[in-house]
Amino acid sequence: MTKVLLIEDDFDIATEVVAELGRKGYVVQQAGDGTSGLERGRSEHWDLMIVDRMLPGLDGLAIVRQLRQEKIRTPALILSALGAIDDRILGLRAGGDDYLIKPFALAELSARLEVLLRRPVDSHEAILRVGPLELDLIERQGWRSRRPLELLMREFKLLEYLMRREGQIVTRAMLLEDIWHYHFVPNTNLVDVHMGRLRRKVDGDGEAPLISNVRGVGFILRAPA
Amino acid sequence: MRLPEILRRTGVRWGTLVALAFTLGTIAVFAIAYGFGTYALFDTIDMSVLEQIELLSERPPGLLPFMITSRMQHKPRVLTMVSLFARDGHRIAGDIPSVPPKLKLDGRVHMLHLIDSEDGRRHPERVAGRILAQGRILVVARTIDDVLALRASLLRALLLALIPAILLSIAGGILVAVRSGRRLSRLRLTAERIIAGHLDERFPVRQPGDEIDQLSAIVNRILVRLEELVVALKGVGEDIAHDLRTPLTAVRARLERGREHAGNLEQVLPVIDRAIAGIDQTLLVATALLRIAEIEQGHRYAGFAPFDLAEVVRETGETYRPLAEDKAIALMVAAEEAASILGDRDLIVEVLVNLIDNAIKFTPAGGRVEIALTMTGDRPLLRVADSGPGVPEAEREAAFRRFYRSDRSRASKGAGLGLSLVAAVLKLHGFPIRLMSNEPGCIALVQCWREPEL
Repeated sequence: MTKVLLIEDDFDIATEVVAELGRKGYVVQQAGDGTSGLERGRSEHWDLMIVDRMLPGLDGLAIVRQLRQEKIRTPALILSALGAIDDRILGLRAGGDDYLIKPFALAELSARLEVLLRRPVDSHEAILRVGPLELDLIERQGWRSRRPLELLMREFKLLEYLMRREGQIVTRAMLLEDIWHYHFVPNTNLVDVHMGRLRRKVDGDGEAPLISNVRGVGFILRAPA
Repeated sequence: MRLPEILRRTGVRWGTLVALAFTLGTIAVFAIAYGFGTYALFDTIDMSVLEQIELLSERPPGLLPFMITSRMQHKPRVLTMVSLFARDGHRIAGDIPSVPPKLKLDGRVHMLHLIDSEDGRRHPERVAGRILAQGRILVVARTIDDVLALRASLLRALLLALIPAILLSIAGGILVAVRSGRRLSRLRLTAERIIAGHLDERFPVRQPGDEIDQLSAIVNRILVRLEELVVALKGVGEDIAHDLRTPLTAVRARLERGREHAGNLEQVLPVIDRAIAGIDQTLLVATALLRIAEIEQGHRYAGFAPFDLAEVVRETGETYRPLAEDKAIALMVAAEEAASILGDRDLIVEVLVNLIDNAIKFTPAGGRVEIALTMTGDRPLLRVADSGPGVPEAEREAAFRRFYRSDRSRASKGAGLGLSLVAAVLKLHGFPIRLMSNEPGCIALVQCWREPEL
């Protein structure tokens, strides 16, 4: 049972988030202002926190900063209507683990929560393995069941990213931020084109598809059952 | 020390200063007149005393007593008294009873108080004495009672004249205070009207003007600029309203129709999907606008650092290669030579993405897109050329404005803000951009600067 603390003052947004996360099996509790949010954040154990940036009472960044000072390391996702690049940097510097700009898709929110809950372990293994996939990080070479994959640099990085998050939905925005370091959304379907190329290389004709498209959200890499 | 409030007002302060200056000036002029006047009077008296003593000493000695005595017969009595004394001080002739004891007999004029033989009182006199032949002593004295009286009435007259002069000065001061106060309050009223939103108000400027007029002229120029900006902002606001309302209206209509006509859930789902897409498009516009505003405010120098533009060009070019290939467009990327520039890397990447994105979007299948970074002198020149329809010369300027969408792009997706963002970022960096014809197609040229060497 995953316990999530939602610190959000907007009733409508809070209601939708609580309902959506509840449907996904999370136990969500809500605090409506900064002061009570900080109090609940430090007095109980939580697996995750979602903190709105602008709150009555105490600013969201101040809450996260205070908790981090008190050595409470609960992963925190900061929600904000402030979308400037500097705001994002400030959010992460205050101790937030991810920063999501309003308005956001609920699917994007839950995908990011999943990622925060299952932090990719920075394994020092030189070879990643998912089902029939193997990725040699030192030799920069990938195989699917002994079939070598001709991966370009970017495709290699994409595959590594997906393999480290096996079974989790990876959204387009996450890929743009983490692979391309773009903090804006290009007009073209850049991510889809690159992912399409990677999929054709990984999932050959007649092979069970490992990478699949999650409509309207992103992509997922799953080992066949 | 704190001045009372009234004295801290500029107009009143100037007025007081003017009054004070005038008063002091008048007093100085009067003092000088008084000083010179009395000096001249005493000088005249002394001259006449000396003249008399000279004149009498030149007379034959035998005649002198008679001349002095006959002088005394003149009536009305003259103001000058003369006496001739024998060697032993015995008076031979004249109206001074005895040789004044304190008198130096050097022929010069001295100030003494002598007892008048008529009223027996001491009077201030200008006196000169001289020893003649056979030791006889000649003394000439001139009373200065009249001169002192004259001096006193002169002083009285001057003091009396001072009263209207001071009153005039005060009146002048008040006039200055009121005038400058009125001028300042006129400026203040204008300022208040401007604050109230009348941006077309202007401060009065006189020709030729003083410092206040010069200042007013400068503020007026600021107002002109402000007015332009407000008008421009209003235009942008209208553009925003248009570009946000249009998709929202479509979304609303779609949802309304869906609710009216959809018979089952299956029919509602595409309606909802399209509505979400419409809202996303609206949000995209809003986000792009905020980003442009953020960049235009120019507070982003914090992100400035030196980086290699060539590497960014190569990397962004490679990112777009699959897109070009999917559209059968030949994409050439040439950026071999390292070109270190000072800038915000993230923003410059965004510029490149927008330029290449546009180039690929507008180039038909089978066309070409060339991205090149060359050095002209030691300045990196970025060139993004396509073989699309190009931008007509008349529209090149407008292309960088917000929401500009030529007919060729109106049908295509996008916020229509790509080039506005490009323009904003390049302006922040001071890199000029130019659009040219590629016959056919469009060339975007960005002139960069090398990182300044420290």
